[in-house]
Amino acid sequence: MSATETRVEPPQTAAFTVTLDDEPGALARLVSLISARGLNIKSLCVAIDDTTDHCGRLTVVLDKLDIAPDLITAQFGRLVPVREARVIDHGIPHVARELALAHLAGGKAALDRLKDQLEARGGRLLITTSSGVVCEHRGSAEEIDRWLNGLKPLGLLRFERTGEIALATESVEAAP
Amino acid sequence: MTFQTLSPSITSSAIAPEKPGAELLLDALEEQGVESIFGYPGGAVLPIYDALHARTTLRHVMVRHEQGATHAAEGYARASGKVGVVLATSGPGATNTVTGLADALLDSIPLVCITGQVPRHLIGTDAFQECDTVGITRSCTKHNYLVDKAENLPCIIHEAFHLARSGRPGPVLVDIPKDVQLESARYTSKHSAPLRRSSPPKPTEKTTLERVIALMRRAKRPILYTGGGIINSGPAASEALRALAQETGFPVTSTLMGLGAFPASHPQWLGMLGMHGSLEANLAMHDCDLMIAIGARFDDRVTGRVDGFSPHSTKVQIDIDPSSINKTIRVDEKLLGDAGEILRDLLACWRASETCAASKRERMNAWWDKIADWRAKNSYQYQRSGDAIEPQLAIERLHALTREREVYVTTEVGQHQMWAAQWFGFEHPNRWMTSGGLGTMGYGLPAALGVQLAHPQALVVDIAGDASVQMTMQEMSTAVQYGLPIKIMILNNAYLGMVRQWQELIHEGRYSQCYSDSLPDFVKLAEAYGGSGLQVSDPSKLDDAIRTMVGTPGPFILDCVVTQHANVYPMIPSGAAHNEILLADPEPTLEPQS
Repeated sequence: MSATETRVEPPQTAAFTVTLDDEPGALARLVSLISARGLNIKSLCVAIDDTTDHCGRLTVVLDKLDIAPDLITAQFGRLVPVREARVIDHGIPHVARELALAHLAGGKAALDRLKDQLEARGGRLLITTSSGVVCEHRGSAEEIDRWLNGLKPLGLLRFERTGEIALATESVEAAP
Repeated sequence: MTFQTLSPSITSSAIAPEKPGAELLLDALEEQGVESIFGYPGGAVLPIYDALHARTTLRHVMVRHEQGATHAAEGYARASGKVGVVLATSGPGATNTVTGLADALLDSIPLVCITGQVPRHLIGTDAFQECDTVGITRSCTKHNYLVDKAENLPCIIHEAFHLARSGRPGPVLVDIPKDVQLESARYTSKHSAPLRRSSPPKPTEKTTLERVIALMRRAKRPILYTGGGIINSGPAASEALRALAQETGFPVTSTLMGLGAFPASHPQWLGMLGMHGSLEANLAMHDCDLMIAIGARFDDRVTGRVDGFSPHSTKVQIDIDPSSINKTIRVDEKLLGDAGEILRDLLACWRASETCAASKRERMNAWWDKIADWRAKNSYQYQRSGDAIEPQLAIERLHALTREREVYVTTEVGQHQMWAAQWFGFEHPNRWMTSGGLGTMGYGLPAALGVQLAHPQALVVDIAGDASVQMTMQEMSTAVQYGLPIKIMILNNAYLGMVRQWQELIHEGRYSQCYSDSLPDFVKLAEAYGGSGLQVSDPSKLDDAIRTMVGTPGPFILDCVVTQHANVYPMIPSGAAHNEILLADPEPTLEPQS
């Protein structure tokens, strides 16, 4: 192996799933480790899960990553609250999904037209408000990009997106 | 704050009486085997100091600045193999520990640093002497805690000690609000405290060991590249290294942090490697066909330019820290675990492996011949003038005149540090305390205090520079107060020597801000603190001066006035490969960078 393989050329995007202890500062440790290396977080999605062993579960997506992803998981493994860290990249079978919520402008008169156009674009109507409709869409980050771009001509008032969560669909080498 | 993972079991806590948090802290320190604390009192830790007042089991050394406490604790830890303990107050007390914590993190020194914090209800209000200690120290500790209630304090202290000393050792900080120090709760013993990161590492697979042994049996140009991980593993790891080197006949080099793991007087010793390492060590690293890295992390000062680093070798790395493997240099085989245990496994496997004709020691003859040629260049050589003390001569003589004694050496950072590493031959582990990773000027004097406290009868010498030593000179006062007879040998060239060297070699001799025009009279300074001192500038009086320093009771400063313009050679310029090493040469040695 050559020494240069610790770096990635060209820089790539990689997702990491991490489970960590639910304690103050655990997320800050992970985020500051990333930022201290000059890496950029494209998205970060985190939740505390009480259904099994009470821990935080998160997916963090790093873009413009020029360090080999397995070295990043090894760095995550240094953090005491981190129980497990995995890289989910192109070579690993996985499912990745993101959720977006969008508020579209339009009075009662425009409602039927909006519903039709939403259906055509794959969104789902959640509620109707005095000023329009709120709808949701699930898909890969690219699909969400396309969906939001498609909504802009319809009167997109406001939107939020979660960033992707990823799930490896077969077992991979884990760190630590 | 949730501490489900740390809460003590009800049965163990039901027996213990309730005590204030400060007492619980000291109980936990005692149970962890702590004997010495380096600290400085202040408002937010007064309850702890009040509890400490009544304890005769814990010796507290009051330093003059919290940075001094951290380096003293580092010196104590590195010389004794125990965890060093620091106690500081909130705000400036905590921020003053940051340099020492970062130093301990990079050099893998086990520390537990206790800091006081403002009471819980004042946190986040910009209270007097408040700072976000856990935020500030998060990236310069292995782990840190803000204690939420006294009930959790004992378990946190037990886990802090466990984390500091286990795996790759490092500093752990525990921030305790003042009202938690006063709050009553029950004690939890270390046996009842749940600990994270406590599962033993998986033993190395036999097939991996056998593959490595096969590489070792075949190698014609092998080298053992050893580091501080062997020192951290304990003296048994050094014994295992010596046995493995002896039986394999492999040459041994070491990083700055690993000096002493292998005896400098041994014929298989090549000297230190890296930027100012020996020619034979660096060229052997470059030309080897098998490199076995043991507790060494391929630091940039060791590798130089990574794409020119040992281009033709198969690399094996032994390390306890998974994140140190492949970090800068991809290796072919990894052995994850304690250096000592893996060295013993390798030794057993080596002994059990079959020898064949190809594995005879003669296969390495040409390699040892090449090493002998490099050695003959005598790369540490320097010109002796006879009318002034060369800095290398001062170290050489210090070594010669103290080698029969139990001697511990600390250093500051710069040229004197490199000359000490080159010229003071270490025969035993834990005798050499230096700031390798962070390169902290001001480390050596307070570190010497900690070493002396751990080894009261030993000779402890801080080999210092005139610039570095002024950064923590105030700890002379601590040395005098606690009767710690440290010896400080200043190689005084009136320059920030390493800065001057780089400015000469790389910045075309533009000596920007590297000369000290008004140094203190170090002898008077020693006397002002209550110690004693001597100045020497005549090489014919050097030996007597060193004997006086060693023979004088109490703290002593030897102001050794040395030649001003000596450079440390060999030198691998930053960003160059091992085979681009520069040797001492009367001619200009490096083209200025364009």
